[in-house]
Amino acid sequence: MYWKKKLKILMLAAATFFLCVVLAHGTDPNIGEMQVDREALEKRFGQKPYSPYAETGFPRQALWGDSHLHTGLSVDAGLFGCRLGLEDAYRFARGEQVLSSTGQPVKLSRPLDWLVIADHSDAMGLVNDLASAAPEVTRYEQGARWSKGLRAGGQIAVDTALDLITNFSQGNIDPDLVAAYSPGSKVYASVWDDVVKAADAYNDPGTFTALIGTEWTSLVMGNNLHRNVIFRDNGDKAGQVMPYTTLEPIGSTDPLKLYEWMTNYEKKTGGSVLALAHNGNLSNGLMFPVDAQYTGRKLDAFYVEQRAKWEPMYEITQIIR
Amino acid sequence: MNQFRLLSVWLMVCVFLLIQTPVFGDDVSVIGQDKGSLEKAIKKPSYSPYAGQNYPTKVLWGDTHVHTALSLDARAFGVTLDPEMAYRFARGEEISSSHGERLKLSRPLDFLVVADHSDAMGAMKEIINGNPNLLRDPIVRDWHDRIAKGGETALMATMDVIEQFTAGNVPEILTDETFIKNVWDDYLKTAEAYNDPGKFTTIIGYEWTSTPGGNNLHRNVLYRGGADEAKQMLPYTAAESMNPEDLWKWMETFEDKTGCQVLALAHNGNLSNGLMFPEINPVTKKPITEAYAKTRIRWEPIYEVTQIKGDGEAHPYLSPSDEFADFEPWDKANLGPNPKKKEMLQYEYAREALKKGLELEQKLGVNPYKFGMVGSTDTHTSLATAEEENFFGKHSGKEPAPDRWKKLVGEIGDIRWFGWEQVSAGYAAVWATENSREAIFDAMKRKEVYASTGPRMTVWFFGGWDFEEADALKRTPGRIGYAKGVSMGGDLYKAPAGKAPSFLVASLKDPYSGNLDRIQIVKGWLDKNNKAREKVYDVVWADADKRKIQKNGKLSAVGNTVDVKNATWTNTIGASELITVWKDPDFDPALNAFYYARVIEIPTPRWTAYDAKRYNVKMSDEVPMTLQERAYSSPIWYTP
Repeated sequence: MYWKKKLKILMLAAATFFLCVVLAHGTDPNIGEMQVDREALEKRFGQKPYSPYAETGFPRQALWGDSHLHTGLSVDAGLFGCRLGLEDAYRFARGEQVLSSTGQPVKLSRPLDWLVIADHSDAMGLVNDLASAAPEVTRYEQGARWSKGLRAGGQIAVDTALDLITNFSQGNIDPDLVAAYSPGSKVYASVWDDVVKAADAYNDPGTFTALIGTEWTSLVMGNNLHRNVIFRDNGDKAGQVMPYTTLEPIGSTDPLKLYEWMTNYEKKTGGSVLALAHNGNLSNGLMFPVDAQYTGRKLDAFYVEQRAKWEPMYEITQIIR
Repeated sequence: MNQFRLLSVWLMVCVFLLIQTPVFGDDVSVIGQDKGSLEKAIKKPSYSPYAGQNYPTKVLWGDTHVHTALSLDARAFGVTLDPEMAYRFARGEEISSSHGERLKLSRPLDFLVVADHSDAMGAMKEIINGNPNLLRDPIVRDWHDRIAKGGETALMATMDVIEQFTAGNVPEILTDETFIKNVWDDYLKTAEAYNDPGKFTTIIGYEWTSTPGGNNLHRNVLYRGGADEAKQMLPYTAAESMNPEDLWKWMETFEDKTGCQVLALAHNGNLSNGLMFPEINPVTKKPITEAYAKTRIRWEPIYEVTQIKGDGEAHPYLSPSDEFADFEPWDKANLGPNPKKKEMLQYEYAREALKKGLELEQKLGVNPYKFGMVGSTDTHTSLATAEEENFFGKHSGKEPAPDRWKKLVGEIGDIRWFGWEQVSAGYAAVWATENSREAIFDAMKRKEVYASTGPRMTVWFFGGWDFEEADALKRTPGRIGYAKGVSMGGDLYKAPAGKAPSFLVASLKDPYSGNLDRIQIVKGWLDKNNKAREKVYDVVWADADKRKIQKNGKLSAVGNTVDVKNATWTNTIGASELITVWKDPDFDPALNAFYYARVIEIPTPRWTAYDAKRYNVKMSDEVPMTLQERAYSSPIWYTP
């Protein structure tokens, strides 16, 4: 029987595995031409390895991270006084000590394994630029005024913040200033470029992973429909698009529009994204609809499919309880 | 302006918080603008309990003693894996053993020392491979050709090689400096390639394998620096000298020449037949001198106390009242055919050596045996396995197989060691500030290290004068430990009047292994006649509601849940963590003393039980099937 015979296998690179099998006790190094006992091999492949940890393939170590962190690039974080940027956030998460915005030294008990910086996509970087009096913002009259006020500190800064918010709510903002901090502008592109580059720089597989992300901050009459968008990809892909925002006409508060943007991203780049919602507790019944979407449209197969496709997980606990 | 409204609603959400916390303006002025107030703020203890901490917070695990195909004997026993594979396995990769068996560690190690024998390093590998340069020598060619024939011929040739090397009859071409340098340079290149600070550290090292008359005086030499320094001198060999004092001279020369620190750690005093921790210098036949003591402790700050060839913490003959002293002993003989005599034991075991050190310090002014303790494997398989369920043996002839338990692992003269006698141990735990060569080396120098027989339990051990019960309630023993005392390997300050030393000791179990049975503190001290004494205190234990110290002074046993037939157990007894503050009830400030912690696990299956289950074999009754794994901290010393 041919198959019962020992097979001769030439010493080729492809045969390395078989070589290892045969070099039992090493005192049988028939170098040049090796022999393999086929029966022994068949027996081996039918068996589990002795080592209980070999050939298992499943994850054995849980990796800890935060999928939802805002830096000073987020308008609200900036207004609250956050002056730490992308680098500070990554350095802190990977276990380094940093100074908080209030000047307090702070460090984690242990490093995290990964981090998603998910700054609000709307007006990303605006307050940061106000605080640093960047020319991109001070060239507008309102920008210059608010910048000065915020930098004055104390009560003046608080008044300025309120003034800024009031003007926003009344729509009394220079449309050019708004456009400058929306997708499509050079300023916005450069902010997103910073985000992507920082993630790539701090991404250190095996030690600390920086996942690129952003928050799509859909708020409908105060009802929280926020979603964080997380990229599987590095900057070479995530950098090809601008984050999706809520301000029309560029953005939308409708999750279906977000899914469309995600679909387009994957089509364009070959990459992958997912979204995860949070704070259903602040959605006043809109987070998990069973009847109609907030737009009034009935839930249909399309909505259900799309939602299940793009939102595999949900952020179930966080600071705002 | 609908879009503005949307944004504004969102911003309004922020406002309610903003109004309550109008902080941000002030903060801007604090940072970078008011330097004085910033400095003040930093000096205050920060709110974050982890800010400003500069002590080690995570213990690093490694093996300081792995042999690869570069070791003459390891290659002869069949290992084909090079240092590269040893590193890849240790850092957590799945690889194939020399026999093609797939294996992987449960978790990566943090560091590894490939410590191949310096004598004839790489020679066997190159003879077998048929290095054309070497084949020019007729003897080498003969060895190569016979080995290539395989079977019995190869085995005889292999033994011939070992015998010739042992006898010092080495063909010149193999002692040629160019050949040795090439091997060493290759070794260093690989070590550099796999050194990845922060993730996985490769510490450069080798084993100086001094075995005069079969007496094991082996030392591993570890480097703090990298290849640039290590390549400036070739490793020291036993062929040059078997006397440790000559090794120390080599180390001094190396440091002077390169500016790179080195240290040595000995192992297997149990196989030294009374020579590992001598009172009489075996070379001069005279009592060891102050110079010997000084030099020894300068170069040998730590000792490898547990490994595959037996545990070396304590021996029941020396510590008859310690019911845990009889752990995996290898006490038949030395590595030659010379049987053990009882009077040799006192110079072979760590606890006894620590005690002798106190006595010698009285005579010499220096304690030569003031060492810390680590465990390691001394495996000759390239595979740093120390876990019972994943044990790949002493050498590649003892990798997993149905009959490995009954086959000989070693035979010299009439002395035989059987496969089942191998100990699946141990690992070195290091309290380093970061995972780098420098930080790990420095921690070894300050003896902030401990030994484990395999499991990775965390052990904290601090000594001071002011620890109190409440300190054991904190979740960060290091924080309070370093603030109020010294860590393992350190020295207690001079005793304040009327005070006894107190110790903060804690352990957290290895999630892969058994629960904890108890923590003990082993005390050694000099009595009034300068005679060293010892006592083992049970200081904290699991299931304390049911277990008490009995009339005989012993804590009742923790129990046993091992199902030997199935090689399983349950963690239904024991504790996942233990912590306490213990004050020495018998302290005399006038007497020298040392203290170290011993952490004992509940019984779990021994590797033989896994073999019996997996291969469905019945082993003879003498083969132990359970064990209580343990950790030994480095001591803390008290000197009046």
